[in-house]
Amino acid sequence: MPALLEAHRITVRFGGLTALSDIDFALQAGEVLSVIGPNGAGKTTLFNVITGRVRPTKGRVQLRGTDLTRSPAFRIAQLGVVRTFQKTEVFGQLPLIDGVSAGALARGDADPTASAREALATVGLAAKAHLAAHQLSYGDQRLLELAQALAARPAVLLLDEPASGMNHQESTHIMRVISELRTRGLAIMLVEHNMHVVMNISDRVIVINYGKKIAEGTPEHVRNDPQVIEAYLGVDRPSDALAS
Amino acid sequence: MRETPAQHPIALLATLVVLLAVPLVVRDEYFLHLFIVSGIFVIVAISLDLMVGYVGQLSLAHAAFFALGAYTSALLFVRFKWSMWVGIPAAGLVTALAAFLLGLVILRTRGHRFIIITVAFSEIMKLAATNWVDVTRGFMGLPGLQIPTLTIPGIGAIDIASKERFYYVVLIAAVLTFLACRALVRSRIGRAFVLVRENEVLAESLGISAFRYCMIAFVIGAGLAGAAGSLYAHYVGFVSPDLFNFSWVTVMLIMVILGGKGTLVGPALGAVIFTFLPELLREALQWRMIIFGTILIVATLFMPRGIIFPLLEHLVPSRWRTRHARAA
Amino acid sequence: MSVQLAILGQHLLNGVLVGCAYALIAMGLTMIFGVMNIANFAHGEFYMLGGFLAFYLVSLVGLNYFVALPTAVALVVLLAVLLQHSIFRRLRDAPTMTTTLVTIGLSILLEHVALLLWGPQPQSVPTPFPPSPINLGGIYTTPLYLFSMAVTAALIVAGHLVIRRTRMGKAMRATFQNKEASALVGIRIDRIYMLTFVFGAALAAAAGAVLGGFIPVEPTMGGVVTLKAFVVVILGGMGSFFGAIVGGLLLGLAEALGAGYLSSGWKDAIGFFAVILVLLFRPEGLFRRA
Repeated sequence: MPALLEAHRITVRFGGLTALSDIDFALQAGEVLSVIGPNGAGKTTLFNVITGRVRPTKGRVQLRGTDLTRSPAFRIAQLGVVRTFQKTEVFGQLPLIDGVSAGALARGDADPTASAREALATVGLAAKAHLAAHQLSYGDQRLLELAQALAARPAVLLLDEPASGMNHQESTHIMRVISELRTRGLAIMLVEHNMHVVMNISDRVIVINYGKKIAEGTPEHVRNDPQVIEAYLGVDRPSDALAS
Repeated sequence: MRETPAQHPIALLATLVVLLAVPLVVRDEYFLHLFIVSGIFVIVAISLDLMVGYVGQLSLAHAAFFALGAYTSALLFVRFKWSMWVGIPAAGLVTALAAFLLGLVILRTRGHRFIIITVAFSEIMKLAATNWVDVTRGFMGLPGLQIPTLTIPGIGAIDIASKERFYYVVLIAAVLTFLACRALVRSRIGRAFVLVRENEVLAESLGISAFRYCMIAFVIGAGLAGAAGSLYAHYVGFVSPDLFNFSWVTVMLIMVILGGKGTLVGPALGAVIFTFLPELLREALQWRMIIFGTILIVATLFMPRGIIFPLLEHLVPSRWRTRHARAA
Repeated sequence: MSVQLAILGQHLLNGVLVGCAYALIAMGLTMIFGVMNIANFAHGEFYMLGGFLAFYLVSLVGLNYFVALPTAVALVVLLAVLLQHSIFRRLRDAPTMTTTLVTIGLSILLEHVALLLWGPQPQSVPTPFPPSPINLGGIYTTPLYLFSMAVTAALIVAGHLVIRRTRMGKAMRATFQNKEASALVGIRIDRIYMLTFVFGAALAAAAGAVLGGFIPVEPTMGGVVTLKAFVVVILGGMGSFFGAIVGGLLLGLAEALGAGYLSSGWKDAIGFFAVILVLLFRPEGLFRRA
């Protein structure tokens, strides 16, 4: 079955630095694909390429066969590929209901406010819809980001460290939400350092180190891959660092 | 999105009734003159608020658009005898077009660069008005502009050049501008303006094109400013390169900032206040501008919502406030 | 020497001096922008005040010219300290619109205070140099010109050395590159802000005082000076010291040649058009290093 989102040989070079080198992946609807790797490996750069914030030196990104590579960021979002950011981005002073309606507005939804309410309900923030974004706790703001993205009715969701800084209760909640979205048929790509989340929610995992893909497969497979272990730890030690 | 008591429909209607009665009550030509000029600047301030208050970009080209509109209308009148009725829409269109072309070049930049380029554009316009003597007559300007008669089929030609009559022309223009801009900011486009202002990167990542909405605000704002410039030119009777002086920008900014950017009503009130106030402080021009400069500094640093709304909220009893203000 | 060449030489000489003045003004502006992230729309007023204070001290107070120049600069420095303490300190980390509006307000304020004090007439700083021309192989110049040229060139070199070699300069550059890291290693950011601001004001005031004998100053000139300085900063790359120097010289020369061979009325537009072109084709500036 042809993939929903595909990347071919993505390469990004800034001056003398190669941030990404020959990255391929394919993502299906209803699938959760996690991208892991040491800090600075190039994971966020990959998201930036997919969403049009960075132009790759080489390579292509395709959504249902349509080439996205040269499209501007807002157009890619309208086509159905939406992301969240590593550093929380919200519409600080606006009430949640107004900020979340952004994606729906951009798509030309008949009733953006209703779509916003729906998205807030999905993530569990419906009760706080009248508050301003800056009044929320950190964990709630991360959920808010997810709601903002959902209101744009994406086919593909790219989540950049959605569970970062969350306590156990919060990360369990967000995992539940992500699972629910997967059941609804969204294709989800995750950059995450929290291995508990990665191992329990992913269908497949890609490991990137120094801009190159060094492993790909099921969570179990990747956890035991010697190259991956070495990349994270530097020497051959048991894979307990990758365990939850 | 948020409405204060001042924007309540009853308050607006009451204001309109009062405004309609002005020429009947105010007989002094000088005060009527001030009302007319304020009305023109209401249009300027509201149109500037679209860019500064709603989209959140500080365009310093607004005065240049105002002056460009004035010159366009003046040239059409002086060279082709086209009356103000043609001049106003023509000026609006020409300035809108100029804004569109300029926007194509500069609306992808942000921050300081954007601001500086708008100033550079204004200076180029000023140089053109001063040096392109064949067309603009340079420092001598273009005098002899007139307010035309208003011809209504069935009634005939009405003379509107008197201050009492022209006041109503300006009032209608200002009210129409306000209603149109209010409809714009309440529409989906207006909601997009605010989203771009609050977090542009986020808005883009959700599918909103910042460039497109900045352009819309820029072009519409400029067109309205140009039309206002045309009204001003015909009312005052002449144009000169002084219209391109930077001091006009300062005044416009004060009207918007002190009035309360992002509210439309605030800048409209600011326009009236800052047309009357300086005239009442007729003493020395120098002191007037010194005070303006100080006000701009103090207001920007300490009064982010402007003077008017905080003042009104202070004066209006709290019972009224909670009853009429919708949730923030 | 042929007449054409002599005329060209004349234009170039003028252009270099004006270019050096632009460089001095832009150097300060770009540092303020780089370190404090403030686009100082009142910067040209420092130039104007440097010139007017020099004029005032020489003509009305009767100070010796060579004493008046540094005194004028010192007075402007005093003003800068006051402004930093009362206003600019509050602009730290403020959004672009806020800092721009405040500096615009300040520019208006200073301009009209100058108008109030000295009136609208353009004034030249009286200099002790004889007006007799010196013949440099067909190109004529005056002692005043040579003095002005020497001083501005020396100031540019001094400015460059301060930034590159002194501890203060290094601290400034560090703050420019990474504010948080600089604070962490013990650099006092508020002090660096003050130093940067004062440094910028001093350079601009010095340019004004020195060039005031050559080009008349008027209270309303600050705005155009600021704008030209911004043009240079954008051309050279915002935050680039080197770019400010080279950009300033380029603009000075371009304007002199433009005024000489095209039209003096339009010469101001050269920079404005250049800025729009640079923005279209090379937004980071002509000189990439920051």
